[in-house]
Amino acid sequence: MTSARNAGRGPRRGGPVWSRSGRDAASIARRLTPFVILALTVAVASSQVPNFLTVSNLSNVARQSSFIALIVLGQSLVLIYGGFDLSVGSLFALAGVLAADGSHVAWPLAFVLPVAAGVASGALNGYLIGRVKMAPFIVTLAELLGYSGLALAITGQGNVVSVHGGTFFTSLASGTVLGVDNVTVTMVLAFVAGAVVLNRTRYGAALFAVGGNADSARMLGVPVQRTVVVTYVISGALAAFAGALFAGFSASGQPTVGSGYELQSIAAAVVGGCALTGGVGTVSGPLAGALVLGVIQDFVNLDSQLNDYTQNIVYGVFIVVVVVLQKALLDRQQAMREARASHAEGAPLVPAAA
Amino acid sequence: MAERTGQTRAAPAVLEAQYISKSFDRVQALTEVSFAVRPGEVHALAGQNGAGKSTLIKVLTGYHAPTSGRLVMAGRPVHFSGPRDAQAAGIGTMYQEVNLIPLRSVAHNLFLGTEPRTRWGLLDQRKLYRDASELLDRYGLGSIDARADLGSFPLGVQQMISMVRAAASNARVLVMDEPTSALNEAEVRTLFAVVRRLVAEGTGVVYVSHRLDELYELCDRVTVLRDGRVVAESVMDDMGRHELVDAMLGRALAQVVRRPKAKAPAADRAAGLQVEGIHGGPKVRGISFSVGLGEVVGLAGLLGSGRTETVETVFGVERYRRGQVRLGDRRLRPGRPADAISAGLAFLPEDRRADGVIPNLSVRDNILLATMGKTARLGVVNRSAAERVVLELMKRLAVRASGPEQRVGELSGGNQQKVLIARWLATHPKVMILDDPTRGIDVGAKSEVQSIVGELAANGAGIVMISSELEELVSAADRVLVLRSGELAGEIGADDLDEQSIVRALAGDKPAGAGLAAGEGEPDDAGVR
Repeated sequence: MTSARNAGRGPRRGGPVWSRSGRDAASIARRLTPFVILALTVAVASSQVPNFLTVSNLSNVARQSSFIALIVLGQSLVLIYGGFDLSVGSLFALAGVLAADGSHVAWPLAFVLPVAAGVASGALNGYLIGRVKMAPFIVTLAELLGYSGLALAITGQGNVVSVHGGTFFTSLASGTVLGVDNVTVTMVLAFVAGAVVLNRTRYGAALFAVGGNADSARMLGVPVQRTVVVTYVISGALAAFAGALFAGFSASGQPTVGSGYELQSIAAAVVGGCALTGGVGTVSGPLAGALVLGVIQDFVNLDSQLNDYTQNIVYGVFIVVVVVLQKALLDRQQAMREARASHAEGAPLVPAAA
Repeated sequence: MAERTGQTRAAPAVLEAQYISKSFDRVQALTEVSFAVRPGEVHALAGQNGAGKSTLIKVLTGYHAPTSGRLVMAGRPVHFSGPRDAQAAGIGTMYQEVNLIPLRSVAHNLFLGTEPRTRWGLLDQRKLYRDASELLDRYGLGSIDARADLGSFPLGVQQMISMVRAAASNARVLVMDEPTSALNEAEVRTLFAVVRRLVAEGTGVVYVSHRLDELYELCDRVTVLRDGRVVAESVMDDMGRHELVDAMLGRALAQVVRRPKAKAPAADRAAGLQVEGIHGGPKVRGISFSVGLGEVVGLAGLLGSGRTETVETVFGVERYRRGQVRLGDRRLRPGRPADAISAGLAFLPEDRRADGVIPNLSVRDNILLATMGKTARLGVVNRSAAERVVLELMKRLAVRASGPEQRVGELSGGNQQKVLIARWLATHPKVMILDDPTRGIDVGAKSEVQSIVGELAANGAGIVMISSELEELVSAADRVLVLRSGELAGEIGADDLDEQSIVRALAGDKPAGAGLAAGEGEPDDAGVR
């Protein structure tokens, strides 16, 4: 065993050593999968399209991806706790319309109004799912329908609402800093913050615990309901913020934009290594998943032989491949553990003299 | 017994339950239970399966709110709206089953909810791992890597980590529900040392175990529960073993009727179930046995011995890699329960709520579930024929229900079990596998189920019966197979069949008397016979 390494370390001498890293080969592979897929996608795209690997095109991909990436970030947190959020797509559209309307009153309202709506929506989700114990599917599906209807109703027959230009709102959404698009910077900052929240806060630790086993988490004293509510609030706020940002960027509130984002965001998070069963996930993986989505879209746009449908076909294939791969890796990890555990069963944990 | 700890007899209780009652739907789990833990004492909570110990513990630890009655801590009434409140009030818990998060690191599990933070409010990772290592070291578990995922350790180690978590919360009361069921002897010693240290520091401990030796070694006082009521309360040493067992079981049950033993002739064995060297997963490693028609074969094993995995593999719930399973001269296809059923095999799973009854369907529909195809002609269910079958089976098994229309969810556990047996009997199985069929059902229903088993065998069915209760195996089985770590560790024939011989086979190379509790079974029944 590893006794050589531990020889002479006082109290540890003698007994079998239970030092094993949680990061075995299979779990490392699982973490790396999304980045390998991103690299492969970029490689294929750049081999087919001559101008793909240029700074302008890549920054274009990042800009295009940034809106859905914000949704993906929230969706990932929801998946880690073990739920999902279908309301984000139409919330994105509704938020855009609210931002456009708000911009005509005063520019701060272009942010405040939609984000408040997103927080309220998330709080409602959290209450119905976390406290009333309704199924996430039903609650968020109802909102998917409701918000999209609301967006159409506000705009009257679904007209596009123009944004009041020339304000801090529009320049923030469409400007650049040091040559990088503000929206791209926003995406990066949001994911850095997301990583900190997930890995370095008690909320993040609770999130994994609830997703790992909600019942145990409750018995361990984790505030399960509060964790669920906070998670949906974050998801709603991020989707609404993304919608407002997109309205500013495109100078218009479009009531039909963002349809399908709810499923695409789940897809990106799953490709990024979040399990639909909860308890597993990162934020960097889903970012890669969102970028894969952006690369494929860009590739399809640039390649004259491909049409829009290709994007969905390719992404569909990716999801299946990735999910099968992740499952295989998880099973392998599990099997290795069980084999080790049963092998070690006979050995005492501590010397009998303890 | 020399190292007892109790001394502060007169001290006020750190935790007191006063007239606690708790009911679920129609089931009365606890009736006016009163119970007090003093500082610096280990208080045993004894009782059979289903006596209400686990429910009481869940009330004490805030998981269930009592239907009536109240909890008092150090003279003050307290109300817990959840386990979090109970923890905040100083009640630490070590549950029977490890309920930590397997995919998270040991350190994250130890400090879940109380993670050390930097002054920016962020988790202090370095301190988290350092504190975890120190904590493990302090409890003699320094060889555990705090960064490793909890799930990478064997169950016994996970249980120890769970104990460290409970002890580390500066609890004034530590509740331990069957803490030793997955531990080996050395681990039990470590655990006891920790308990003694905590008690010396003034913590009150509530201790639940089926192992009587442990109770007498560790505990100062004992409260005995039966059918949700307190039936005895005493200083541990003032209550002899016979007295304790009698209180737990009730007088009547201590007299177990042993059914006459049958020995299946070779021909009947060939017509029954033959399992030949199956391998599947880490817990089924080359198991062979046969069950003749008309014979009851018991299957014994400790927690984690692979007994459930074995029968699941035989039935086809799990696949196997090598070997074969035959019923009569028909070879069953691995991993295909439907094939096993059509060959005449029936399987009553361990967890009837998760894998068995459908609570919202009627008794009739539950019984007919497995035979839908057979009683139907051209896809139309023959209702009157089906009705006859249902009524006949309900009568034969004495199912106590208002009628075939009653929802199964409204029946008691024992009657739910009978409905499940009826479901399988409707398929006319040749061999039935019963995985712990009397677990968690009341004593009356228990003996009924046992006599049904005997009757089925007398009518020519082969029976495989798993049980955690040794006396049940001794009374019901013709012979007993003992499993250990996924292998067949011994077979005890009718002539040698008694609890001691099973215990010896279960314990294997361990000294006799160590670790005899079969998970949640009845160990050390010096006074049971």
